[in-house]
Amino acid sequence: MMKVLVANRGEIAIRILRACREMGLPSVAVYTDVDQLALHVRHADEAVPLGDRRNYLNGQALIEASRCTGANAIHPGYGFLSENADFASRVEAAGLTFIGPRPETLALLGDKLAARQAASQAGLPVLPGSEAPLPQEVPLEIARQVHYPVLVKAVSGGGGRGIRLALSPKDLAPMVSAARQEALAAFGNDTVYLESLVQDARHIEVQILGDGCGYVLDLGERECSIQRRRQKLIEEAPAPLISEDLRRRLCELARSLGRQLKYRGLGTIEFLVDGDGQYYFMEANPRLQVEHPVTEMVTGLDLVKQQLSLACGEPLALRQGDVVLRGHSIEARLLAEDCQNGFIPAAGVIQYLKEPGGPGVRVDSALYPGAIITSEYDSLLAKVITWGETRRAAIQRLRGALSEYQVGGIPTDLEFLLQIIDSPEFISGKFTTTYLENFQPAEVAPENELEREMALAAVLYLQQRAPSGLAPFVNPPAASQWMTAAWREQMHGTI
Amino acid sequence: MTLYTVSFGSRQYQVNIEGSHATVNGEPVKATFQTLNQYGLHLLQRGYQAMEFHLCLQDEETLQVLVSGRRLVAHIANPFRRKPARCQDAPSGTLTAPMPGQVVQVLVEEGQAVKEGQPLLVIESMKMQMQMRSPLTGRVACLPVAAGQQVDKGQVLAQVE
Repeated sequence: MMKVLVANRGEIAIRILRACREMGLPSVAVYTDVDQLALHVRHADEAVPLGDRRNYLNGQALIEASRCTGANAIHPGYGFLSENADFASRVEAAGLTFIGPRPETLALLGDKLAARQAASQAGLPVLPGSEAPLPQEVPLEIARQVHYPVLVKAVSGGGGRGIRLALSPKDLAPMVSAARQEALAAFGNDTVYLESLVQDARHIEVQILGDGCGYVLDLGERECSIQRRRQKLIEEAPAPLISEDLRRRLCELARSLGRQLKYRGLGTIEFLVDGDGQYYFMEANPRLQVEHPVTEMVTGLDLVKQQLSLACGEPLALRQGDVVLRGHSIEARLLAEDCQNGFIPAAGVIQYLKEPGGPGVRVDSALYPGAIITSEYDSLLAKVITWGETRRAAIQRLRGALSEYQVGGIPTDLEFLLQIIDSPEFISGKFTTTYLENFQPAEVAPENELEREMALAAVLYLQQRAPSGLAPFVNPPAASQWMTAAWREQMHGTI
Repeated sequence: MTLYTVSFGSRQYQVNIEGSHATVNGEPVKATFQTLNQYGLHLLQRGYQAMEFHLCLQDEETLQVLVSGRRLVAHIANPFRRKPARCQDAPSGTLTAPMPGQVVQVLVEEGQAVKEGQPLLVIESMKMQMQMRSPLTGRVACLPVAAGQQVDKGQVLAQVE
């Protein structure tokens, strides 16, 4: 029997642990010392402490945790070590199953230059760019020859990190050094290359699933153009406003690259599609994606269970003809970010929580009242995914679900998400990856009557919390009685 | 009579409580409140409308209000309260951490002349790096942090004179 160690945290660890439980597979969670009280720990049969906060990246500690619990497979989730070829090899060398593509596939796709070449060989159009890594000192002739604006990209980049945009020749050197520095910190490798920037393009990606022997199927595409600082914020399936012909071509190309790699498990082939319908291979993500639920909602498949059953050694029973898309699904990412304050990551304790529900609403969340949000890891708290017969119905459900979501104690991006999905561009489906850069949210009209009421409620509440709430207020002692009386009056009075 | 000023961002409301009678901006509030549980959940009733809201104390004069899909932050000032010395009046040459995180790089030294906007150090939080720039042109008078150090939100990173 396969026993799965989930080498991750947060909502994705919970997502994977739920699938294990559903399939009757015993599971093991891991946690660092800042995550002792994290929710994912309680979703597993067993949980192993890893110590230091950085140890989700400590391959040796994870293999050791598998050994001492008898786990014989490791699911890496996304981020952390999920695309690390060296880790995957060490897992396999230790006699364990790595739930993901083969280590050599990870190595190939992890090197963005090698991935470009592989894609090109499989017939996918690639963006014009440098065929070799940039030397440490950027030669002047390169800086002069390039067409600006140009992207400086880390060969081992991912998740939007290690990418900088150079607008002019004098920008190039500082941007190269900034990209190198971020890449070194995030991936331990500061090699970068140049790639043309496609302006006003959409980010469309295709989900593939392969049996590792050359059979690869596609599970349709996702539209992920709503991004901020190259981090996806809202994703949907299928992509709005693309022709059936383009959709078929992208899916066929993604399968073709998958077949060439004899791809094993789940993967995503990302494309940029410009205003003229020209499309280019961007990169391949050899792992489960954050936005995988929208594909699950429209295909009715459980992607994590597909991964787990392949890892158990079962043949891939699913055929392309079995994949039928139905309706429309949208995902919005709930982040611990202060959107009214420069999108600064926030940390704190969840003081109050109410999560949405109802038909066609799915919440993948790691929150609970009292949960401690640290700034150690990324700011994703939860995902709200809705399904509807049409895109319009899915948007309406998402609007309802986001309005129902209440998170007290830390700032989140909830209001920002609502402003985006209410914007005419989002509703029309006509947006590109730069949409949020110039996004001006519609002014939220203050609700004066409600604010008047809340002003009074706030004062009464503070008074009621005497003595601690009263302490900062230097008042005559009698005041506290007045306030309590006023509160009671408000509480029990009639209109 | 006790007068409080409650502000939501730039909008201010004068809350006047006299005995068991309360007005906001001089007018009575035609709603009643009910406490639903001991954890800050309340109910507002306005005519036949009922609306849930959550109140939670952030510090001694700040309350977070969750209501109707919105998160409001209420600052409450009381005229009878002695105003404590606040660091808001700190000299503008002070650079503080906007978020908790780790100092990854210190780009200047104490005593060094810097220009306004010049990056002084880099901090990282949730895998995001942020350059902290000098608030003014002058000299780095004090640099109490080192690379690798964890910092809390609001902690002083540098002092430029």
